[in-house]
Amino acid sequence: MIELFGIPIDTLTIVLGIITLVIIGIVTLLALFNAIFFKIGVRNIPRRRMQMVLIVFALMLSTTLLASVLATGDVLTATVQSVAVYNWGGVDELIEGGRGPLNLFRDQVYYGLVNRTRNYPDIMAVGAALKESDLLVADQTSRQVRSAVTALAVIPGSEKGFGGMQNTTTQQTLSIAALKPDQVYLNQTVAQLLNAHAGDTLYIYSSRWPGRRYTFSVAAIVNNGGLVGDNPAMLSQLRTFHTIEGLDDEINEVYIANRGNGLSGITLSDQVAQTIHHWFPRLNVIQVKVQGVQNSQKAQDIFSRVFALFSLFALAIGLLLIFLIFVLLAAERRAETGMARAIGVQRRHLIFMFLFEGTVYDLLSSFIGLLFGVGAGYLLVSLLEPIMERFNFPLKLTFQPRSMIIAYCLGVIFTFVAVALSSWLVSRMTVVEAIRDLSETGRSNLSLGEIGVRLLQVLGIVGRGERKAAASAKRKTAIRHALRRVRRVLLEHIPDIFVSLVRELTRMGFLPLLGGLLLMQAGLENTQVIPFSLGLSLVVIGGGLLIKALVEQLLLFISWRRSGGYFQERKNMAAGFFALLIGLPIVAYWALPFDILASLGLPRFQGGIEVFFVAAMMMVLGAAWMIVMNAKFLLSPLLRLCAQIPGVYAIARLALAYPLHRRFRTGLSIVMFSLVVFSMTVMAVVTNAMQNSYVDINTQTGGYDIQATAFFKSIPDIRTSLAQHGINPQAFSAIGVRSTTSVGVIQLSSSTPRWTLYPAQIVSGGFLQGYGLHLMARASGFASDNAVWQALQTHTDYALIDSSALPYNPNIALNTSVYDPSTPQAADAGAPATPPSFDPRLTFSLSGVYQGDTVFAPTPIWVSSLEGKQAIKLTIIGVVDNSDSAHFGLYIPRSSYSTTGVGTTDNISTDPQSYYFKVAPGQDKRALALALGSAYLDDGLETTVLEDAIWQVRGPRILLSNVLLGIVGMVLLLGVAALAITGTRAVVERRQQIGMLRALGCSRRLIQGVFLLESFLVGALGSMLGVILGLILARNIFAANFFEQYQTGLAFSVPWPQIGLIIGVAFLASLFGALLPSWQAGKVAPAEALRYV
Amino acid sequence: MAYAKRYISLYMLILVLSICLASCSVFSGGQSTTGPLRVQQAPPARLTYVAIGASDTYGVGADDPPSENWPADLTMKLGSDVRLVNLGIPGAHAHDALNFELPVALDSHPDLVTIWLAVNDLADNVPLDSYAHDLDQLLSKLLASAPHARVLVANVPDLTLLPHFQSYNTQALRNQIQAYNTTIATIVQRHHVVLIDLYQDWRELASHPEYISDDGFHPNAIGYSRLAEIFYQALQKNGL
Repeated sequence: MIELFGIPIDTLTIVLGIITLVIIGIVTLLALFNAIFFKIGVRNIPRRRMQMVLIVFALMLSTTLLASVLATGDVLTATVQSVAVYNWGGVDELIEGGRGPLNLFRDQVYYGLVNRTRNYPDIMAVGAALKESDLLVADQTSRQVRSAVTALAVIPGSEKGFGGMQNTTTQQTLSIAALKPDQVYLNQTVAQLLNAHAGDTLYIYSSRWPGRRYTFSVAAIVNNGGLVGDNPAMLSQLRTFHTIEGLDDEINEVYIANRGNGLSGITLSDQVAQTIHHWFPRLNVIQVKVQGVQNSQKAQDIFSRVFALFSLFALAIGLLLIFLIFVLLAAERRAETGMARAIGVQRRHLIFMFLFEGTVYDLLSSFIGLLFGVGAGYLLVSLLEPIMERFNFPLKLTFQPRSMIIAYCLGVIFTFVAVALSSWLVSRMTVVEAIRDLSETGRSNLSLGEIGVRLLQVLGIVGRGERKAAASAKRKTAIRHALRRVRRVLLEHIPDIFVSLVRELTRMGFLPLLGGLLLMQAGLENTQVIPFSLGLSLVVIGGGLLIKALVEQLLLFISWRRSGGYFQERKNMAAGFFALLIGLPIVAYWALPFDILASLGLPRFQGGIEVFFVAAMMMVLGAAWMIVMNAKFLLSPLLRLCAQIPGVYAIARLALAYPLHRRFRTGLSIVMFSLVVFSMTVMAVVTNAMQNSYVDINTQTGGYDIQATAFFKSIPDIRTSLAQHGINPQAFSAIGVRSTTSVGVIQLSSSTPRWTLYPAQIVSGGFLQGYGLHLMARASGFASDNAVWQALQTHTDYALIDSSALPYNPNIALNTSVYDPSTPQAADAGAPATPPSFDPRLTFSLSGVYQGDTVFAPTPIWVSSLEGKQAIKLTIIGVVDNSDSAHFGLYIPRSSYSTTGVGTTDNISTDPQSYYFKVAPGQDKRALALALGSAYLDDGLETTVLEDAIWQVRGPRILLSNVLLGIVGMVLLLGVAALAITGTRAVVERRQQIGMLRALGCSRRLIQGVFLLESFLVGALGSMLGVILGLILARNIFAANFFEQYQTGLAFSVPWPQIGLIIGVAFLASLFGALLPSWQAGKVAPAEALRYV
Repeated sequence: MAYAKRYISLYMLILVLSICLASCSVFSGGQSTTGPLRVQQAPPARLTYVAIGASDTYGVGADDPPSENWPADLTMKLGSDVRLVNLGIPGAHAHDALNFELPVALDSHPDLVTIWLAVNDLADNVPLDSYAHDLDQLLSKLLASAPHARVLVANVPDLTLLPHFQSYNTQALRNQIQAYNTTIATIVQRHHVVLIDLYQDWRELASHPEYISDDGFHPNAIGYSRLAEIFYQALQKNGL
């Protein structure tokens, strides 16, 4: 990984490392100076083994989660960067920029550079070649044709610094010098495409030599890499192409390899490029590998953003798990803490004891978690290996030590913060509260007036202390007393007063209101959605709390005249009502599509993908707060229902008693459940969209299996001629023909009609039956896609157009461009938004139909072609999905194009005609592709198996989609384990309660039933909340057009089977977690449980 | 107790409604309609103006051809609620206009038509007879199908004033221009449409080199603005 949440990973490592060392240092020092409390704290570990195992396991899970996510991030980064290495082999810089059509310059540049770099350590190798592009190669032996092949005529010996060339069969290193003038090496890519082998005879054609062809024999097939990368390429001696081109000593490319291997050389690229430019100012130095890495990062940016979101969810789950474990631990120790306080242990000593115990747990668990995390990463990569092998992707799993350090440090810091916070909360309880285990809601807060009085008292203590010190006869004792007083005032009284003040101002809503307004202003000034929305939420919270405080005062006033219980009863009701009053707007606001603000007259806010994480947290917290505070009312129907069933009421009543009494802890458990299920739901929706878009090959090929292009001459009636060429036409279930041309288009129904240009695809056969094309929208009047296809076959004046011709609807903010301004443009990400090689200003754009429309009015257009005879009027009745940027064009039925006299088969296109075959069930598409190429060799028919081509082009994306899927799987496993631990601890920590119930006469079966029902209710509520909120957020991610749906094809759809699986697994986890301990709890003897051994 | 029950019921109602509303927003899907094929219509306008022409009509030479061309400038002068259909095709001859522009022009149901088409034919040495035939056909078909449309035809300006033609034989070019303009005038007269005499009305080109773009051939945005002014004056002069 290079960055985590926008912070460079190196910086993050150093910062986290320092914080961790400081924490460990402080804890060690405290342990040394407070050895007795260290012993007391650590003593708990061996005494409560079951508890220790659970805590260690939970902490380990958190570290595992962090480590595995970071390890996966390394895989992701390595994948993205490896694409550049994959494409460019060993070349770091390229020198070009000569003259003429071939951009020639003299080979003296190469020799001069070789001499200069002898004493220049940053350059490891220099190579040079005459490069010829866009060659057509026909293999006479395998009878296959391949276009767009590059020939590198290399200066002999110059290839050696780039690793030479390895024979794919013998792995022997080969040299250019060993080649005869009529011999070439083929790289693996072109050899696979041509089905070529050593000894094959090749014919080479080029538009530079019309009417001529050259014959070569294949000397060997060599590995990709070195000078040629993975593009289809052949290598020859320089003099071979010098002879063909009639040249003497010219070349057109010089290659530089920097010191280091693979990607390590790119750090030197700037310096090397500057030096070479200084030596040869007239030539251009292109940092190809640096550019390659940048382009690859832009192209795969979408995965980085999704990964960042997933990581945030994983981190939140990890953090919450740690916090939950320690809150439960602290809660369990309340009575014990009260005892300790009663015998004179000070608050800070309690914090120390807790810290020492937590640190030992942390040190025990983090390393194990780290190892498991690395293991999970290895498992993921090993599962992905078959995919990598599929397209010879050179990905090697390399874990960055930094990632491991970060995972470990984050684990330590999270634990420390959670322990410190929970122990501080426990330490603040009074002795009576702690011993009697009173509810946390029963505590009274100091009013503002009381805080003022307290402050005056503290000042009085300091003053009295000074007078006492002055009066004291013994100077040493006086100083000791004074120091103790100062320490107590500074470390206990003042923080207490400060906390009370903050708490009171927060309780009354002043601080949230002030903070909210400031944040809203900051958000408005910078048009950033996160500060604005957080500010708005705080204003809602502040406003609600203010009203609540006023109502409480009113109730207090009224209660003077009423009975004692009146105030508390009404106050509880008010708390529930205000939780609803605050929680509901917060959930509703964050559940709305973010761009809704723009339609309310506010500026269109911007934000990165982290906005969805914030939204997730706000929604889950808001909803959990709302539900927990109103749990009594929500569950009353259930209790009433249970009251009708004999035997169940007791279980239900007991099962609900604890959640209703301990609302904070119950809330935390619900939040934990919701967050896990929520994260899984969002991840499932996003990865499902990615899998549909990138991994589903059938969707991308549109049903066709083979594409064939005739380079020498077109084949008039391909189906009839198949039999004549010895191929059974029945082997294909559909055949489509497509020619590409450019046409002038004008739409009279637009506001300013004028002629514009657009690519046209003249189609027939299978294309008119729906193969190869997927409709995104259809004209009104057509009830189904099938009706559109039928109409195209029967009407000569109907046409389709691709979705890139549709503009965004300017009246709908949701339909405007992508939400995140840091997102690379679609073209940068390898997906052009307009037809390639067309000037966007002069390119046709359809008026009146917008991106996202599914139904539109049939739209007439006029079409002209310079090769044609007259303009024709067509009506667009469908929009073809072009989210893969591979379907640009106005799709015109061939019959329409030729019968109306606009063009004929012979003159419509300067591009060759392409044929698309869908093979019949049971047929081998690769064998048929080879057979077709062989049969039509004289027509120059190049055949491509579409699945292989998609793998070649989209391999990295497919791989990354699966990496993300792997993360989802890991988070699911770890999240489920976290839920199981939460369920288990909920039982384990209530042994005393169980003992009491057993002592009162409850049967084992009843106790087991109570715990199972409680787990079920918490799990069900949390899961339901998680799924509903998760689906809402996932929809918002797509509604804000975060993934540029119309360019990436990533569309929102609910993967119900996966969602069902998530809910099922979450339920099972919570039940399974509670099952064993509740069974054990039932077996515990009352006396034993009450003694808590 | 009854009060508390009402309270509980209200809470429940609000919660259920909020969940339902939130869920509904998740599952809104697409729509599908069936019915007769009613095609998209052009927006209504007080006057539909169709410009038939070549690169000058298209706006070649300006920085932003779609907005900086003389028909667009003329439309602005014609007032509000005028709809321009710019059929200019760079490099088009009169014959191309007959095949590609006329059918579209007729489909636009024009109220006003301007035709400026001779420069490419002249520069590419299209035989005058052939040009005359095409222009005649164009006007005949146009007037037959859109008899109520007001039609203006522009002739060839003095190309010898343009930098692009500096290397040409000035006298021969001038003779050729005269021949074309005579033919245009004859055809215009035959069809009783309005002639815009750019040869006479745009002689100011000689003193305004800033009207011409860098290619030395096409006007630029300033030149197009001036051209629109000439067309507008001709329209006013003829009471159109």
